[in-house]
Amino acid sequence: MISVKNIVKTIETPTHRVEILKGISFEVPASQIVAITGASGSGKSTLLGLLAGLDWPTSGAIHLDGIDITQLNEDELAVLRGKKIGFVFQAYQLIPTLNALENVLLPAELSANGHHDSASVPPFERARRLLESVGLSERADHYPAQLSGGEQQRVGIARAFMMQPSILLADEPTGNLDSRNGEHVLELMLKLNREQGTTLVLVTHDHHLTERADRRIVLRDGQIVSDELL
Amino acid sequence: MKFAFRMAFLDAKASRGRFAFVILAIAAGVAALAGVKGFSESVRYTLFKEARTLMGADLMIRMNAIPTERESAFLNTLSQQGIDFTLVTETVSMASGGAKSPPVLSSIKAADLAKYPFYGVLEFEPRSPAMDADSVIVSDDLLFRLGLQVGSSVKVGAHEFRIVGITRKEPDRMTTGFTLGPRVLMTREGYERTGLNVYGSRATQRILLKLPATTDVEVVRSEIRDTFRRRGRVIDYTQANPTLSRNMDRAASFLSMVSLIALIVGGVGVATSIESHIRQRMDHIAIMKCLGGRSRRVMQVYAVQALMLGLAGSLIGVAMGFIAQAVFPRFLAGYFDVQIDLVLSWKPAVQGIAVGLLTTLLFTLPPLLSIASIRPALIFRRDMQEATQRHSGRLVQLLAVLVIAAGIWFIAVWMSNSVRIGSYFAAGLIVSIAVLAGIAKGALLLLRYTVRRFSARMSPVVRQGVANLYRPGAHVTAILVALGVGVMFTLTIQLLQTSLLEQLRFSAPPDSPNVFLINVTTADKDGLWELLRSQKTVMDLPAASPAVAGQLSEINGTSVDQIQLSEGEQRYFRTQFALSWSEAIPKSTEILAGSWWPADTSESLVSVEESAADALKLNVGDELQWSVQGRELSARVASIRRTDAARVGANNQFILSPVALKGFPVIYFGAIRAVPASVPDLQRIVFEKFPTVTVVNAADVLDIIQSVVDRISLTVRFLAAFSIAGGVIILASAVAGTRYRRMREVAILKTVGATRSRIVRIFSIEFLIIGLTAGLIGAALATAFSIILIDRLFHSWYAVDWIPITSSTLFTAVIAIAAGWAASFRILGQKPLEVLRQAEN
Repeated sequence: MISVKNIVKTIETPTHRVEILKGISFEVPASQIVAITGASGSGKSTLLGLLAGLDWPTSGAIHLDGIDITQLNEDELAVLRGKKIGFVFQAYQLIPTLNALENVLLPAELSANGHHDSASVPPFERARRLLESVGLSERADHYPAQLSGGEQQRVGIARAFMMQPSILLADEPTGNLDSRNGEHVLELMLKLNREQGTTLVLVTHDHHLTERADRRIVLRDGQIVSDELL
Repeated sequence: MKFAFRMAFLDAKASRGRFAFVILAIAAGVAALAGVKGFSESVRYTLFKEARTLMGADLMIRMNAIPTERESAFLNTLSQQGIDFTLVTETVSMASGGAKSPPVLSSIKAADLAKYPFYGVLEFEPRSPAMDADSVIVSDDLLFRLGLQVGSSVKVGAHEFRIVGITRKEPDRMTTGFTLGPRVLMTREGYERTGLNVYGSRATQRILLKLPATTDVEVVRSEIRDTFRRRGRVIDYTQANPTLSRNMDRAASFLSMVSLIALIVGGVGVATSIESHIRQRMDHIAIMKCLGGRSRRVMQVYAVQALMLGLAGSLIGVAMGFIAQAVFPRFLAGYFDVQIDLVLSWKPAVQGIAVGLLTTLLFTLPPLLSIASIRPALIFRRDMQEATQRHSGRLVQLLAVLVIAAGIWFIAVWMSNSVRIGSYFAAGLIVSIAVLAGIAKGALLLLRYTVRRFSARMSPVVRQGVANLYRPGAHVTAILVALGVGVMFTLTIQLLQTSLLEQLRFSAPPDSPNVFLINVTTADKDGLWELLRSQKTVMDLPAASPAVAGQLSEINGTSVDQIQLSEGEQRYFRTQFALSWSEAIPKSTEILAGSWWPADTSESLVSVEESAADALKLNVGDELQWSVQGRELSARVASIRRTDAARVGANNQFILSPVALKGFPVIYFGAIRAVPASVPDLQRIVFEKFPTVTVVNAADVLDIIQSVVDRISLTVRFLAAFSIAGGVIILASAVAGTRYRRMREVAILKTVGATRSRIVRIFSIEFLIIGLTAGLIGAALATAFSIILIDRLFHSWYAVDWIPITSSTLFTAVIAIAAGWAASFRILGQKPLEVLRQAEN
């Protein structure tokens, strides 16, 4: 479950001060699919970053499964992300020097004990199965430069599910893809989401994506202007 | 850790080009250090292996007097046990090629050539010249200086000899110590004929002994010690020539410090390269943090990567060091008459690798720590940076700098084997780098301000070239520091090399003596002084100073054998002192304690020089006793004095009241002032009438010292060149690191109409400014150091020499331009569209 209370985010640069989020509050129950939309500069990506613990709000509180993440330090947030949060980036953000399988495996290798659930499948095997589930088992040893945009995003999705997160955050997951690939990626993401019962929050301009969500939150100028169940 | 190694390796594979510079930067420093340490090991190995050859014997007794009857009788009993011995006498005297040419100060060696040396082989040209009492074999520099050849006559002392050969190899030469002038080898009979064998002469006697294989060396040593006591020092070949070994250790210690400069410059290169690399990997680091990687885990990856590079650089450096070892014998040619065996010893290799790794780790610390401040949110918002993060980052960076300073200190102490030397060196280096960095930053700020102020009047090419210096990732300050350190150190050595001895010449008081007369017998004294008085070119002729050779035997009734002194101070008990007397207090003398005696005193009194009094812990009223020719001489300490060291005769350690030395045999010495240009003529005139008197021209001595200083300077500058190489590598690395930015800039410039020649000029201006600035800063600091040192040592003003300053600045500019272009020439050929498309993607 995600709980956001009165989040404000202000950015100071040497020349000026920008208020990106101006008091956002909402709650997302477990397993819900939420689409956050809004114009460019409305604060969608910033909100997603705060939910992922990639940054701290200027004020307000964010609780993920009961944990106030605004009170955690950098390392504690990293550990939390490793355990609970999967992230899909618009620009894929794969490590170019690792092949597809290694990129999927990366969250497990970065975590303290190698895998989230010590009793179950070994990380290597899980990574291989995830790649298979996104249709890239034949491309496991290919590097990002050898993959198309859609293939890279599929690797990104597989990586996001590697640690069996309870929350999946996706920032414009189809933003850099053509419509056919975008549709394919969306189907994969939703399929894995259903199978694992993850709470999914996505930032998107894509109407097709919005239509597939359970709920839509619209941001404008750093504030929620609309929050409706679909 | 497996993950860290794998990630580090895969990432390094993709950055081979940049990391080649890191490896080279470390390799340059390690090569210098491993070369010095390796050569020192090789010399130590050779000294041990060739110890008998270098000594020419199994045991040696070194003394300053001829053996007494008792001592000679003891040696004869040794020979009855099968122990062979021979006496080698070494002294200095004048050698002359004829009445027309001035005599030359030479080192004379007299030996029984049927026995000497017991080990090693003297090599001559021709191979086996026929030697007798009337012939000598000389070094080729004597032939050159006197204009002689084999077959010519040369007069040494009172006897004329025929030159029958040239010495090509004399393995035990290093055992003698510092030789003054060309060398002359003669038989013992020939030496007797020279008349140089006078009582009180400053000849060194070496008794060489060859022991049968079954002899117990310790028993023989003990017997020799009991017989000769403090009159002779016993050295055996297993001590591997202790003086030479000690001197080599000191030299290796000093040269290790010089090499350390190159290593530290390499470290600066590591820091800049790794910093650039981490900056380029910020996205990867942010992704890893997004995916749950803690800062420590991510740092492990880049720490492992840095260590891998450090290891590669160190291994290459050790290999290069072995090659560098082969160069050192060239610098020492003429000093060693044995072949130095170059050995590949594990110790210098391990030291080189350890120091290389430690340096890499130390200088990687600041960029590694910066990983902690890379926020994962960077992925979304690269251009927005929050000020609060920077403050704690700065504190951590300051801590990292302190750790680096501590690391440099530790390495310096380890390499020099001395806390004192290591600490001074580390402090000097750290302060120099800090000052350099401050000046470099200031210079860049001033340049930027100047260009902005006068930009309207400035050529666009110059403006653009200057602007390039401030390009992100250019690391210009680091390049200036690295190049500047190398220039500063190399130039300081060069400036001091020429100026130190010039200052020595000029700083002497104008009336100080420049000609020294030694070994003047009582028979020669009056005649010699009359001759000198008749010479118009002699400007100052003080009275001759008498001296009696004596060795300290007791202090306050206690035998000196029972007095504990440090190794260095022990020389006061081993040395034959020139005990002089004087009625009046010598010129330029200050009495520190007690008082001078009246001219007609009937007491046996002594005035002790300050350093001797400190070493022997003497006070006014103490009783001293010397052994003089088998008799004992006592005197009470009347005063402790300090004398201007330029006054010969006045600075003897012990000056006695006249009555104290009555009845003892005396030899005289003198210090006079003559017109400098006339001294060679004066030497010739004195030699004609008094051939056994040695006339030393101070200018000749300074020339000999100058030649030694020149050789040392060359060796040091060879090593300092490694630090300049390190600076060049850093420049090339920084240029290569900004390759993509440069390519974009070139593409944009070409697109808006810039020709290749214009682009070449812009880049050349950039490299030229870097080289000139580094050269100027290095030269300015070198001049400042020279001014400070000359002032401290000589209380004199250092005259700035513009030629080396200008040439070093220009040289630095040239190598900076060459290195910059070598790292970036390919950029010119790239097609603009290709580059701009890549940039968009």
